[in-house]
Order: sequence, then structure tokens, then C-alpha cells
Amino acid sequence: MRYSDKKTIFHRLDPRTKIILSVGCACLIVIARSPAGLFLLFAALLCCFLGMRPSAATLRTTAKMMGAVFALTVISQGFFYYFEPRTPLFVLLEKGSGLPGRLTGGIALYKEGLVYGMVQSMRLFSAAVMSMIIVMSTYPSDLVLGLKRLGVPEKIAFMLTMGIRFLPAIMEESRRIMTAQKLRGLKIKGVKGNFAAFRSLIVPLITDSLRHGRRIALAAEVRGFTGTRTEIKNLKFAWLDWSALFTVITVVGVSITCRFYR
Amino acid sequence: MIEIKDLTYTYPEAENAAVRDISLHIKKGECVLFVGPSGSGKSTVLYCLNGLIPHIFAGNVKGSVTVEGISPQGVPIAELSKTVGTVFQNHESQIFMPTVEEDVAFGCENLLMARDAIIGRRDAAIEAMGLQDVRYAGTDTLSGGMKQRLAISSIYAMGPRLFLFDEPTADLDEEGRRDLVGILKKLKAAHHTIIVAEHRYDDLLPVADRVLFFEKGRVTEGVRKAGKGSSAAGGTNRAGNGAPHIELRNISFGYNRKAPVLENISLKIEKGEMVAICGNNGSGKTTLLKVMAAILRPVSGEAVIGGITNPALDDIVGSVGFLFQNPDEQLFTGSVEEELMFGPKRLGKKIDVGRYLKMAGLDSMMRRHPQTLSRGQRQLLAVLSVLAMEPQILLLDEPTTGLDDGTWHDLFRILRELTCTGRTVVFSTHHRRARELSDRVIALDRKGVTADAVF
Amino acid sequence: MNVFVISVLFVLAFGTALFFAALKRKMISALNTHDLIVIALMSSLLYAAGLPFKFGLGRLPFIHAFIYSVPFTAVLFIGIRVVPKAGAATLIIVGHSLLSQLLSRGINPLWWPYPFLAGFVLESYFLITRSYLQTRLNAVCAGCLRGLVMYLYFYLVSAPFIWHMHYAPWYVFIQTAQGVAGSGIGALIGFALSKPILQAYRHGGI
Repeated sequence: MRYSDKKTIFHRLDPRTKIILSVGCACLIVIARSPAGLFLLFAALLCCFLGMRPSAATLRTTAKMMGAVFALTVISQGFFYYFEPRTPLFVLLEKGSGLPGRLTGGIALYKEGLVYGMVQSMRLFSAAVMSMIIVMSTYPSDLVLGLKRLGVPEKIAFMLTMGIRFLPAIMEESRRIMTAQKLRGLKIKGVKGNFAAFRSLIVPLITDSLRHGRRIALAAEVRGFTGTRTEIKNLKFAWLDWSALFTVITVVGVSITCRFYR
Repeated sequence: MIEIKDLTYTYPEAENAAVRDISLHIKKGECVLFVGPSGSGKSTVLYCLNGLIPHIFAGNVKGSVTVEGISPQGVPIAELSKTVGTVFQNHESQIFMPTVEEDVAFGCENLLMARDAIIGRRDAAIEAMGLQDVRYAGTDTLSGGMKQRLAISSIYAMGPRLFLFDEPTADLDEEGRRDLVGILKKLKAAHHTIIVAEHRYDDLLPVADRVLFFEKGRVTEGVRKAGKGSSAAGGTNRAGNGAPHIELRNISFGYNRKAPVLENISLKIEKGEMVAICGNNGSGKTTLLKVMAAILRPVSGEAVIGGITNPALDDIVGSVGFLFQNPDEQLFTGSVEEELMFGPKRLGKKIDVGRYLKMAGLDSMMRRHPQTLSRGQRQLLAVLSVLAMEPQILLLDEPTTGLDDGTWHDLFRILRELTCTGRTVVFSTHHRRARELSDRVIALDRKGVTADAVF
Repeated sequence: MNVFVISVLFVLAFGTALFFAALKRKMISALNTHDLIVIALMSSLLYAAGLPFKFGLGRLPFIHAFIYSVPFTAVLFIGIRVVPKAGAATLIIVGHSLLSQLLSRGINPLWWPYPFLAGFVLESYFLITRSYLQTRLNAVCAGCLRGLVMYLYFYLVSAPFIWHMHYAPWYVFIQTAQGVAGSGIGALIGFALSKPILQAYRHGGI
């Protein structure tokens, strides 16, 4: 996922609001219990996501990713379901059959487990969709600024800014190193190949990055970096942010009440 | 402005002093060139002026340094940066913020200036360096020359009276260097004091008031004639002509469909030729080399490399050697010896490690870790490790960046030996001198091949 | 009763996070600009470390835990060897986690406890043993400890109480064992590679 430059309602929200919204969302994911509630949460987030008019390519990757997560969750929960009653659809390993059977206590695919997996995968989906909305609507450095204003120390914020700034270069460099390896005859196949590639990637990559880091540090020093700065970029809390905050706080409040006093 | 008296400095854990008994006086508004090979102490003097010595580099300082009456030893670097601005060689590592505008303000923000003052200075600096057009652009989208301007303007915004440039032209193409000279003239006209440390200084002579020569930590003043002539390893001795080793027919390539980098390029390179591909940054030199190495596949057209039409990377491993610009990315192993055997071992070849190391005078380094060699030695080792696979075609991307004269000479001697035995060498460069050492120059620009000359 | 467990755990996780944020204000003041930049680069490198595995072994689902632990731990430990100071380990892990959230995965508070927990475990281990991976044994133990805590946290706390997923004990055991083994091997690799890297870094110039 990447930031996409559009003018949706989410692009206009203050990064702080988005961070708080994501915390609210996380609370909802943890609190929600009934399938209906989970589904509602997911549907609401999905509507927001589609409201941003993501490109066809984004939709395709999203669908693929969700399909994989869905399959994995449903299958794993189908096998590992342990609540009663449960009806086995088919048995992979008999309970008493030999040592593996005794160690695992039998492996079977349960019908209720499949349903349970389908319901619970909504949690993962909600979290994923929420994250995607934020990443697509906020420029990374604005998020850093938001985090800083919410109390993350200046030095950590600087670290994140540096990370965002230099990560693309590092990725590019690792790709170049891997091409250089291939040109020198290294085959990146199999366990041995993977580890050989890793070994001969990591030494030059880290050494070079550290040298680079030394240069960056010198440049930062002569530009007077000490860890305290006046930031000229400003964030503004508009009515839109207040209403978004109000909505999320209400929803979280209501769900907590429902959960505890029913 | 600057007064240095009997300065001697030794880096921590170093045996010899990096600079010895240096005394200098530089007047306000002067532009001074510090000239000398790598390790001659010119950068060290700059570090003494901007406070990196002794605040960042510990070690042993003797003698006195004053800049505008301030002793750099006595004030923190951040405080000193209001008076002394430093621009380094590698522009990539001097850019901190995601957009041009933010990056120009970065220094002032660190100095805790008032908000309005920062905005005023930022806008003035953007104006002065001619960055208005890219003001809101992402810093990663800029060309090398523009990044250089950005680095200078970020320092300019902090309002120093003394500008230090540490090898500013090493990564610049000709256009960028012309640009830099223009900026230096501008700074000089505004009565700023400027010191430029550089080992290739011909372009800069018109702006310089004085040239100081550094050698082994000592300095001599004088005006030496620029450009010592490039007799080094010239001479054309092509071995055997025959079928072309590389043939490109109407090649086009682009990273996306809208903006092709290469369009309809056709050329033939014969066996035993030594070819320089010249052009400014962004003209597609590296892309062209990568197409020749089958790292990139042309979108249209045919590339015949060593007799195979449009080969895949796996087809030519071993017969084509490719060297990326930064040698450090290509030294993978734990020792110099292993490094040389890395490729041949995987191709099932046996080589005489000693012979190769002797070619570059690295024979005493056999057991050393490749990454602990000096920059020039690392470059030579990277070349050797590709050579050891005995490729018929050797492609090198900007092999001369950051090399001093000695290493440069060694490199071209080795390459020349290769072409004499019928191998083909193609390299990209933006240095005039490297072109003089080749048999043939292909000039490239955004439109395509603009000149193709054989000497 | 589930409700209480969930909320208590959630509050606890956030409490630790906040506690750490407060504590770190002191810790990071001990780190200079150079350390910070090295830490930032190491965080980015953690992101790039899995690259050789991305299209190869990383695609096998069952040994996923093992394959990903190796490069992660190796690079992390090299980073700690380069900046052997209190707080460095936490900052590298938290930095990596936040970076990947900012750049691709999206801000997700439900993942926040992981890096803090990993950082907490390693920092306490370093404080107790008074060594920043100076010996091979120290490194392997630290690696195994990291793997053990992280995987147990996921399968015993995060999966059942936050995501409401359940796994059979044998599966949890196999995955955790893989995590521990992977982290241990990663620690060995990291320890072995850190020597030449540190040496090169010291002598290779600017």
C-alpha cells in the first residue's frame, strides 16, 4: 500500500485525528463480540475504504490479500476449534493412532470451526482496512508530525523521518547487491542459496549503510541538529476532526456499555 | 576571518598526524582552493574549522584555530554552524526532509529561530539558489545537480559567513560543475568567504583567489598550472577486429511507458574495443549499460550480446562482467582472496589469485577483509573480482567516481591490458579525462546517441 | 470473565507502552546524533533484511516462523553490536515496526505491544547480564529468549484475546520452537557477521 494523492474526506483529516481514530478502531476490534457487531464494523470500514475510490490495482491486491487471510483463518480455526459442541467433517489424524495421534490429541476439521473462523476473520479484515485507509490518505511525514504532537519524543520522530527518507535508497541498494551477486554467478535457490544470498547481502549492505550513516551524522551536526527544533509546519484541528473524534468516542462508549451491561 | 597557527592533528587510533604544523590566514571575502590527493589533510583542516574536530572526532589537536574571533574548540557545533556552513561531497546524505521546502528550513529549525524568521530565510535561500520551480517537489525526485543546489541552499538559509565545500564536484556531471561555479561566483559577489577542498579543480580556477596545495598533511601555496596532461595509459592498441561483441538494434527502454529513457538506439561495439559512454546524469548511461548486461530487457529492439539475441541474465553470467558504481555493494565475502574466488568457484573455474592481486598491487592484502581496504583499493578489488570470472565483455558504471590519480592510473592500466587480449571494455563516465583514455567515445543525451567518435 | 481478561491485558499492554515512552525520554538523551542515525538505518535495514527470502523459502507457510526469525534477529543483533547502549534495541525494533506501519501496513495500535515487549525483554536481559552480546553464548541466549517471548505472547495472549483465534497446544509448541530456533540461529549469524562489519566500519573511512 502507498500514499495516493487524492482529495477525499480522509485526506483532509488531521493526522492526529487519524491516529486517535485508529486507536478507537482497535478498541472496537477488541471489544466487539457478536458476529453482527463485527460484521457492522467491517462493513463500515469497507465503505470508507471504497469511498476513497482506490485504483483497480489496489483493489486487486487487497482482494488477493484478504482472500489469503480468509482462507488461512478459516482453515486454521476449522482445525483448531475446541469449543463444544463440534462436529468433525473429516478426520486427518485419529486420536489414538500412534505417537503423533497421542501427542496432538487428534486432528480433525470441524464445521463449527469453519464458521467461527469466518466470523473472527472480520477482526483481521477490519484492522487491515483501517490501516489501509490511513496509509492511503496520509503522507508519511505528516503522520510523523502527528505522532510528535501526540507526545512522541523529538528524537524518535527524527529517527522515523530518517527512516522514511533512507529506506527507499536501502531497498534500491539491496536490489543492486542482489543483482551483483547473480552476475557473479550466485544462484538464489534452495535453503543454501537463500542463506548464501542473505549472508553476502547483509555484510556489504550494513557496512555501506553504516558508512553512509557516518556521513549523514556529520551533515546533521553541521546543520545544528541537537534534538530540539522549532517546527514551522503546523497542524490544524478543524470541525471535521472534532466531529470525527466525537463519532468515534461515542461509538466506542456505546459498545463498551453494551458489552458490560447487557 | 580565519587564522590557523601551527595546527597539528592526529585522528584517534592513527599513527601519523593528518595535518602537521599548518599556519594559514584567510581574509574575509576570499575564495580559496584546497587541493591535494585523498588523505592529504585538506578535509581535516575543514573539520577543524567547522568544529567536527574536536567535538565529533576526538584525537589530538595542537595549535590554535580562530574563525571570526571564535575558537571552534570552545563552542558547540550547533552554535558554530551560524557562522560556518559546510557542504559535503555526497548530496544524498545531506538531505534530511521529504520535500525541498522542508529541507531548506531544517537547519534553521534546529537553531530554534523564530517561526517567521525561518520562513523568511527559507524563502530567501530558495530564491537565491534558483529552486523556485522545485520548491514543493520531493527531494528524491531531484537530479544530482539540483540536489547539490539544495544542499547549498539549506546551508545558505542558516546564514553563515564562511562556506566550506568538501569535495563538492566528485558526484557532479559537467552541467552540475558549471552550475556550482556559478553559485560560487554568486556567493563571492555577496562577500562570503569560501573554501573549497577538491582534487579535480580545473573548473574552479576562475573563481579562486588562491590555491593551496596539500601533501601528506603539509601545505604549500602557489599557482600551479592546471591539468598536468593525461599521458597516463593512453594509446590505441586494439587487438583484432572481427564480429561485433555487442550489437544493439533500435533498442528502446523505459521504466514506465510514458517516459522512455532510451529510444531507438543502434550501435555496434567490436571485440577488443575500449568504449567510453559519456553524458550528463539522467541521460541513460547506466540504463544503456544495464541493457548490455541483460539486467534490463529492452522494451523493443534487439540486443545481441556475445552472440546471443536478447539474452536472459542467466545466459550471460560469466561471459559478461558488470560493475556497479559503488564498489562496496559488490564485495560480499570475508577476505580479499575469497572475494576473487567467489565468482569463478560458482562457475567451476580455477584461477591464480596471486596473479590478479599483483595486477593491482594488492598482493599483501590477501587475508584482509575486503571492506577494511581503502576506497580506491575497494574499487580495484571490485574490478578484479569481476575480471577473475574471465568475462569476454566488461561493463563498468562510473568506475572513476571518487578515485584519486594513483588509483585511476592503476585502473586504466588494468583495463588496457584486457583490451589487448581481445576483451571488450565499455564504461560510463562524466569525466573528460577518462574519455581521453578510451578508443572510442559514445556521447549520450536524453535524445539518444549524439556523437560517436573513434580515436 | 473473558471480557475482564481482555480489557486488563489491553490496558496492561498500553500501560507498558506508555511507561516505556516515559522511560525512554531519559534513555534517548544518552544517544547522540550519530547513534540515532545508525539506529534509524538499522530499522530500515530490518525492513530490507527479509528480501532474499521473500520469493524463496519465505513462501512456505508452515516454516514461516523459522525463516523470518533468522534475518530479523541477525540484523537486529548486528545493530545492537554497533550501538551497544541502553535503549538501542528497543528503538531499533520500535523504529522498524513504526516505519513499516507508516510506509506500508498503516497505523495499527494492535501491533504496538509487540515491539515494546521485544524491546523490554532484550533490554532487561542486557541489564541483567551486563553485556551487549559480547559473547556468542550471550547472543544465542538473547536470541532464543526473544523468540520464545514473542511467539508465546502471540499464541497465548494476542491470538486468543485480541484476535479470538485458537491454536492447538502441539501447533503452538511447534511454532514457538521454530521461532526460538530461528532466532537462535539468527543470533549466531548476527554475532558472526558483526565482527567483520564492525571492523570494516572502523577502518573503512568515511
